[in-house]
Amino acid sequence: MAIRVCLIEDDSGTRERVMASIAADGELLGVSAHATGAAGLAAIAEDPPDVLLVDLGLPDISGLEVIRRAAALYPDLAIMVLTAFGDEANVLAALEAGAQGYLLKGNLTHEIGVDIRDLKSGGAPLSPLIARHLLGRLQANWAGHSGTAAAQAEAVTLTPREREILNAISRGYNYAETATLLGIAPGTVHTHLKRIYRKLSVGSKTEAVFEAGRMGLL
Amino acid sequence: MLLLLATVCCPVLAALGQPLPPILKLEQALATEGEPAMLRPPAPSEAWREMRLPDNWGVSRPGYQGVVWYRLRFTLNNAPPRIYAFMLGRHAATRYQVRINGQTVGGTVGYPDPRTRLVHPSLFYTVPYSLLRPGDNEVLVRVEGDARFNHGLTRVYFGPSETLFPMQRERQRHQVQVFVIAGFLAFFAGLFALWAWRASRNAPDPERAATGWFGLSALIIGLPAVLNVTVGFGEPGVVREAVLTLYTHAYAPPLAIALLRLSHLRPRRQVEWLFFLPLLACAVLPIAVGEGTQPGLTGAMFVVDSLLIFGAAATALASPALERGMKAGLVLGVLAVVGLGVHDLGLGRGWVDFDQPHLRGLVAPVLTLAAGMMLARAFRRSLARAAARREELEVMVAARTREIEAAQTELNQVARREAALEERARIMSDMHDGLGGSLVSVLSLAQSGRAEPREIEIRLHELLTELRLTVDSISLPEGDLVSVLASVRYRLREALELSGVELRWRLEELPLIADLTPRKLRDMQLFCMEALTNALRHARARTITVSAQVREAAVEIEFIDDGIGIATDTVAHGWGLPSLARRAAAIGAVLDIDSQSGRGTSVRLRLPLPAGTTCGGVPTAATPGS
Repeated sequence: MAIRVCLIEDDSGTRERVMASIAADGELLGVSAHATGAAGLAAIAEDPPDVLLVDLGLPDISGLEVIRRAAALYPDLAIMVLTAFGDEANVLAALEAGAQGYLLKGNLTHEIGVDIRDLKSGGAPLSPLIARHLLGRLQANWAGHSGTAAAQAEAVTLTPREREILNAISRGYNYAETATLLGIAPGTVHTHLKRIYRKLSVGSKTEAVFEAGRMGLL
Repeated sequence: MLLLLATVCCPVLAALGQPLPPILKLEQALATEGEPAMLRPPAPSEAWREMRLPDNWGVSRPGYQGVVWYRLRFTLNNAPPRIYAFMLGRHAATRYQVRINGQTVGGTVGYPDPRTRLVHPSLFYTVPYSLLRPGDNEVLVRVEGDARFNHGLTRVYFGPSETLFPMQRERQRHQVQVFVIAGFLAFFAGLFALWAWRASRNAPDPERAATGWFGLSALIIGLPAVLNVTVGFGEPGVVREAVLTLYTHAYAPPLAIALLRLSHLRPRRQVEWLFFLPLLACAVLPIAVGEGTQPGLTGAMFVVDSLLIFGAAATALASPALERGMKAGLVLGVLAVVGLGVHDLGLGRGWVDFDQPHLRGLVAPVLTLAAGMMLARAFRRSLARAAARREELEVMVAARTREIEAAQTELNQVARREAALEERARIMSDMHDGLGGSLVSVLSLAQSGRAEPREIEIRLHELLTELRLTVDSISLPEGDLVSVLASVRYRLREALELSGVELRWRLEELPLIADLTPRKLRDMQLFCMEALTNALRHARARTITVSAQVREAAVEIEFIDDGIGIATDTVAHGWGLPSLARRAAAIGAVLDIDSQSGRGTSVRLRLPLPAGTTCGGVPTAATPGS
């Protein structure tokens, strides 16, 4: 059964290229492509796909907002961000909004299908800089909350194994090397990464709750 | 046996049945002056004069020093057999001896000088029944003393011991314990004041000086009571006189100074020393002139003490610095002292009953008590003042802290603005020199129509990678070489995969290096990128090993390939070696390129660690084992 993919991208050239790439892959099915966030969200509501590819710079609503709404409405939906640079700020914002990975535009080697299949299994590409950032950030969560908040914090802190994986990635090792280094199967690395992504988005929500509580909104 | 029992018991039983005889107050006496050396009474033929007790020598024989014998009579009819006793109202002489019917029943061996030990114990002598006889009995009292100290003989009381004793105890309480307690109070107040004086060493308050002087004065006053001794060492003589007089009056100058300081008046140091001058006279005069100075000196010192203390009190009362409550305390103290003085004056002049004790021993304790209470008040006030001041200071500190923080924030903002400007300049120059130029050359390549589309695509991908590295360089963690290397590998992973070269990656955790600025990190990033791409493009290697570790106080980064190698002496420009050297120099690292034709190339960069760098860079505890 083919993976159903929906694309939201305002640049028509990129849109056509990605759709062509999807069409060329036997295991993927391009359901629809949209130039605006609103149109994309409407389409998802009508016919939920398995994977959503979103560009961050959309003309109507921001890509982050699209991710946030889609992730809230369809928890099973795998969301992936299209980005030119894969830079820390954008990727982290997308991950926090609920995306599970990102796709660099203009890759030479990877067929888009590989990345999408990786995403479905949890192994979206993670750059060393982002891994390093996550290490500091998810740990900081742990240190920042105590007492009754500890239980909530547990949901957003890293296990030792997750920390080991992020550490290896932050030192430039790829997934296969990381798996060898830690003596685990490559698939396990993917599983852990998927969990880390989830923690990140949960963490950002928990932080928002803490923040709101502190500000007297709750 | 029975008879014996009867003779012993009968009087006792008889006595038990009878009411207690009353206490006799003996006020009629015959008196005559005797030789000090003579311990036996003068013969009845001597000039015995009839007189009434109490006899105050200060009134009856002014200026007399020596011995007076008193003969008293009383009649006992059917005195029941029990223990009787004599009581003398108070010890008002240097030495007493008491005889009854020719037998000595007691006496004192000499009483401490009344100037330092102003207590007046009553004297109590029990009398065995066997010494008494029915009818007339005679009591002889030998008194050795000095009229200048108002010595003499009080009334003599005679009665059953069991009724006289409580009376004596009552007197003892009034005439001794009050003085001892007052002395103790003064002593401990003095100790406390001296402790407070020492503890508040950093406080420049006038109260502190007052406390010190007060402590000194109170200690001098209280010490004899506490030690229960008097300064009565050695034989009577001029030296003893000198020390005694000095000690007796030593309390007055410090007390006067304390009173003045308390009212925030600070006499010149010379004037304060002047206060002590009379004390010097006390010490010097008896020795210089001899014993004859004594009465005059005592009188003079009384005037001096009064002048000092009352003068200081008056000045303090006039001072506006002394608050109302403290003035009231001072007035009360002075009034009490005047009252005590009048009492003693009356005692000396015979206006006040001679049996009553002198009260001048209470003058100094009363004064110190008044001064101490004033001090306590002053201390409470200055504590409140200190608390208020501290609060004020805290507010000031908080305000200043806020100011400093604001300044700091502003400075930080300036620094950040400067850093941002520098970063912007760096990125601009990167764009200009690197990307801009490369884009232009790719553009002209495309325009020429001679290039393969695939070639243009590859060049554009290189440019994209370069651009991504530039973006990465903006968010590189400060001083973090690991992130630099890791991100370079990450960005070059496509090129590495395409080349088919096996990459061996050996990256230890490296310490954060504080003095690696963003600029240097960027140079480091470009160095690594160039070193890697050099190996990929030119070396025709099968494997490239990249390693980084700390060795001998330096970070060592190595790029080793097993390719064709280069001849380092013939500098190959295509290999970008001058660029590597330039970047290494910019970072402050030592570059070492080692290569032999056909045997690969090793590029080694040694970056010395600044002193004080600690290992462990990433914010994590766990590192994967390899």
